[in-house]
Amino acid sequence: MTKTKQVNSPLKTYSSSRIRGIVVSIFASLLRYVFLIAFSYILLYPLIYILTHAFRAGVDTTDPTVVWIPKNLSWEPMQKAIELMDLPNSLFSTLKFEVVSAIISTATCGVAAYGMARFQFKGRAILNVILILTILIPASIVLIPNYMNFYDFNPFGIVHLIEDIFKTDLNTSLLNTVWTFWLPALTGVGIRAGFYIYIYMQFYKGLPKELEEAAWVDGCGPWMTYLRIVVPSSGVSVLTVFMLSVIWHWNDYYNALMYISDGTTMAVNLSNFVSALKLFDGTAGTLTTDAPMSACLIFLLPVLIMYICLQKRFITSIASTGIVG
Amino acid sequence: MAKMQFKINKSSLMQRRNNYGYLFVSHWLLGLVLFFVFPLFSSIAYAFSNLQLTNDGLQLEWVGLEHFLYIFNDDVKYMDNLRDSVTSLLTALPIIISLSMILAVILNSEFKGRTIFRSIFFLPVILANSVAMQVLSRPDMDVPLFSMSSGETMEGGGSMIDFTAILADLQLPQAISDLFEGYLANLFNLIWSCGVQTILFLAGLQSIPKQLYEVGRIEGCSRWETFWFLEIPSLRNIIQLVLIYTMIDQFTSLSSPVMSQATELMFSQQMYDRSSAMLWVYFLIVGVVMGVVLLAFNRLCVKRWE
Repeated sequence: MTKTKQVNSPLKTYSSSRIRGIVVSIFASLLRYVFLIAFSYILLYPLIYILTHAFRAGVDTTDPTVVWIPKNLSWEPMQKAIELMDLPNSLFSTLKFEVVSAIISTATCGVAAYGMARFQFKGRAILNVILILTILIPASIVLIPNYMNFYDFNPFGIVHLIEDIFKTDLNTSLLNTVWTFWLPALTGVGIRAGFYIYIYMQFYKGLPKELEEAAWVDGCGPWMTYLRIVVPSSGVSVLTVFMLSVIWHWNDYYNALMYISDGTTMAVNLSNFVSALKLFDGTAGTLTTDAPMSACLIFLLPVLIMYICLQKRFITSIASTGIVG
Repeated sequence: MAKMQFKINKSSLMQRRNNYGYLFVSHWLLGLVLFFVFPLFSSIAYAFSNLQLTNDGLQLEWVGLEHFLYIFNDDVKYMDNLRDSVTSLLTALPIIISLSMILAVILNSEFKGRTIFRSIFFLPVILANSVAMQVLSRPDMDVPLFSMSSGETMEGGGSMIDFTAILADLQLPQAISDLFEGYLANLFNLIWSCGVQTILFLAGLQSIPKQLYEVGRIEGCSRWETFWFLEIPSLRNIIQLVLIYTMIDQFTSLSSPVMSQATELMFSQQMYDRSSAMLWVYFLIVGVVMGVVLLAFNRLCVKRWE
């Protein structure tokens, strides 16, 4: 770093280094584009594959001359996909179970993170360790215990106590109800909630404290400070958490599989799609239709549209604020 | 004396203020106890007992270390899977870290079409681990490029160069060419697991103050020197975060051998007791590996950069 170049004649080195600079920069940008385009191909590949196959007629699937662009378009795979995915119903239950709890999580995790980031209360250190544990421990460890939890919902033995006192059977199984998703979301322990709390915490720690102090001095209570001062200035983190939360809830498979037995979500239907299709067609070997690709397209479309709408703000916000730093 | 008085008053006020923290975390505390801590302990209990599903719920019968002994002594697959999980993580880790850092540095520089490339490179955040990707990578779907990741050789039709033949021609030592072959077979997966890491690095790069670059420019740093002596040391905290994220992501992903074995046991054979024992052993080993990696990173890199 400290080495200095030997300069003979300022004019001569200027021109030659300039030419060298231009050559190097052209070469570098060429290399950059080659690298970026090669990677983009790999990243876009599944999307292109899905898009080009979703509307392909059955004739083209066995035609070796058709690689990317189909010769005959048809709605037939799409119709099959819609039928087998049980579409209006599964979309509705995905919205009801997953998307609503994604939105709830976005709100409740923010509240918890604010408490963790701004107040030095007793026991905060232990909660910090537990927060890291919720991120570290794979969700499948607590999946079965939670299933039993919801199968006979009995928080702290209260329900059984009431049943004993009044000699009734309250039948508090929460399975197949929205509460299996909404209760964890409301209490800030939903799908990957630890991660959202962590993101929010990093953001709140970076917010200038003076604004809140001023609100406090002016007689704002803690809730009002949070709602009036902190929330309006944390649009970036809310957007990031909202997007990640919706995406991860949308892709959630195991919770839906465990807790919902009828009228399940799109993710479960999609993951069972190929076997359902084989059953439907009565074929055991390779498939002769591109209906799975149409199903993937249906499944991904809402998330993709959301990404395309929000990506500009999402990326610039992440890139400009360094939300995680 | 007056100063003293002021201090005491202030601290008690602060204390009262800090107690409002409980208000904000109360719902989360409830959730943690109900849906995390309590289930965690019952899953430990499952690992030490025999489970029986009856109409009244679960019947637990204490069997001590039986499941653990079974896993270590009789289960042929488990130890292999455990070894595979750890080695595949340790080989993938440097590749993922360096690849995502290179991508972030490129995406951070000024060039035409940057926004388009940025949005393409963040696609894995929404697509990776998606059910749609699982459908695409099913062996019976026969999607080119995806079938590479399952270790099969590519048959024509695809548009990839035959790297394995090139590797064979180079006549490298067997161990090295095996390592490269492993990378190439997983190239697709590796690139796909760089999404969040690239975002983290990009955010970190953006938070490096412009003045530092200015200083580097005045000192006569080349781009290469700026990268090694300015950007990487400034990113040390982000690198640590990325290390943690990548390890969690790789270890807990359902495609990791132990996780898929445990979930298979859980869902298709309903052996919750044994699968919990498996997951707990796995989790403890994961913890040790993560600790060792982070310690090594701190000792070897962060100390030197500070």
